[in-house]
Amino acid sequence: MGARARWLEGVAGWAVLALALLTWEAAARLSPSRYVPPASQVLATFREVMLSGKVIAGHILPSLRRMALGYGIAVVSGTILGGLLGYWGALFHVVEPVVEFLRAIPPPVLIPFTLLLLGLGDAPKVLVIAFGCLWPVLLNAIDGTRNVNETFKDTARLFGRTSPEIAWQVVVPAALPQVFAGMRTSLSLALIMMVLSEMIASSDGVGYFVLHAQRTFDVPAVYSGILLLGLFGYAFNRVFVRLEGVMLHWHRGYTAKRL
Amino acid sequence: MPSHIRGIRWLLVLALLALGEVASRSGAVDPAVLPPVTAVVRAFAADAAAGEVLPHVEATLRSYAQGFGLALAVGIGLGVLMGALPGCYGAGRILLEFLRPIPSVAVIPIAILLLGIEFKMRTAVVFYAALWPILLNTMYGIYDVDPAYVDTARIFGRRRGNILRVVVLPAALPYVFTGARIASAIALILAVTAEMVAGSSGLGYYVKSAEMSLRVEEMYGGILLTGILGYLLNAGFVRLERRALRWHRGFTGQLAAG
Repeated sequence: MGARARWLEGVAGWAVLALALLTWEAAARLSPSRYVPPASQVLATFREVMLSGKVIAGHILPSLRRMALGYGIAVVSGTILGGLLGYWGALFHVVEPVVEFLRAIPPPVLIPFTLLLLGLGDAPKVLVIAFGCLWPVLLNAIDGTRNVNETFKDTARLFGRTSPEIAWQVVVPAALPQVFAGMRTSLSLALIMMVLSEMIASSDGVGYFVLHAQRTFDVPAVYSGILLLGLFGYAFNRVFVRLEGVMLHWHRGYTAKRL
Repeated sequence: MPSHIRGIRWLLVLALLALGEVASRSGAVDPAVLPPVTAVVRAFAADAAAGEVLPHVEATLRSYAQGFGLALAVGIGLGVLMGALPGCYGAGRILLEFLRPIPSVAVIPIAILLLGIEFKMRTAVVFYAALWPILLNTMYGIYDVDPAYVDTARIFGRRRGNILRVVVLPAALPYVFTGARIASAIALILAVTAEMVAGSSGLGYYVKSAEMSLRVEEMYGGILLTGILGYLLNAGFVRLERRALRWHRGFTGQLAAG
């Protein structure tokens, strides 16, 4: 594609976005429905309410704390478990039916169970987030560990490396790119799990804030909360891509040089 | 897989169930938190026999199927347009980039405002959540088709519409299936979440109301049934995918075998 075509494509994209925003604004101003506030009003509410100290301390920070904890637990336990299950293939075959069944349970339906088990507070939400995020990391870690090139391992063995050395110096780095792919999928799941756990059982957090705003018919607050969640999703993804670039730069460099 | 492993894996499932039963009966764990498996099955079967379960299964499946089906049609249609026509891609790209990061559950409150708390709302929410994986995968699938295939078909005098149908769509099909499988799991999550947040039917509602009225056995029964439903939907999908893409795998396998 030529530079000119790319330029046109970019302009078309932003034009469509501007058109969509303008249509929204106009439709909201003209329509009698009080459930679609104008975009300008949503932005004003976002500035005044979402970015106020009360909402940041009372809702945004608790949400981020739960999400970070749940996601962290899922990544650490998923990588370790996945590495072990991938390394000992027989073990994976034994636990496979259990894994397949647990993975198929929609996490929200487990919330009543976590409440029963852990009571109120952060713990049940953190558990639901961790449960929902575990599977992509776990399965990618298993796959990544299993699919390490045998030649790499044989070469290391030939050079007299012991099994733990091979695991640490060969298998872990070789499996890492796929673990990262799983972590990326899990990151967007973490945001979803955070919101739904707060909608179903919480008295604070952004998920609770949005649902509560709907129940009290504070319509601009509903939309500005969703805007905040969209910004979260965008920012988390950007940070992750950057982090992945730093962690895996050797991998890309290696591949690129080979090509 | 060796047959002794196949035996061991089912033994493990049985052992876990037995462990739960013993732990609960002996009082090692509080039966109010984790009731014995047999009690769960008995209470849940009684509820099911009284006709209290099936309508909820139907309700969940209905919003799942309607929302997911609609997402398939719209997602594949838009994905083909955006993947095949650069103009459509350029026009939609920025809008897509803005909407995609919004976690799909976050639209539930808006859907409640606009559509109420029953089927219409749930179907719409399921549709919205399932749309993205299908749309994006279809688009990338079409984007990734080897240009040599298209050029070859063009040299043989095929027209654009024909190339799309005979070459591009089949080549993109594995991507579409992957997107649909991911979307199916998310669709079920959204259906259940919407039922737990609002409304008065569906498995999510069943589990939540069992918890709130402290009918713990029924609650566990509902959780297990939802898990089984998710498992069956996924297994059905994998089977369908394997059947539909048999030519694809076979083709790849032959090439790999040289």
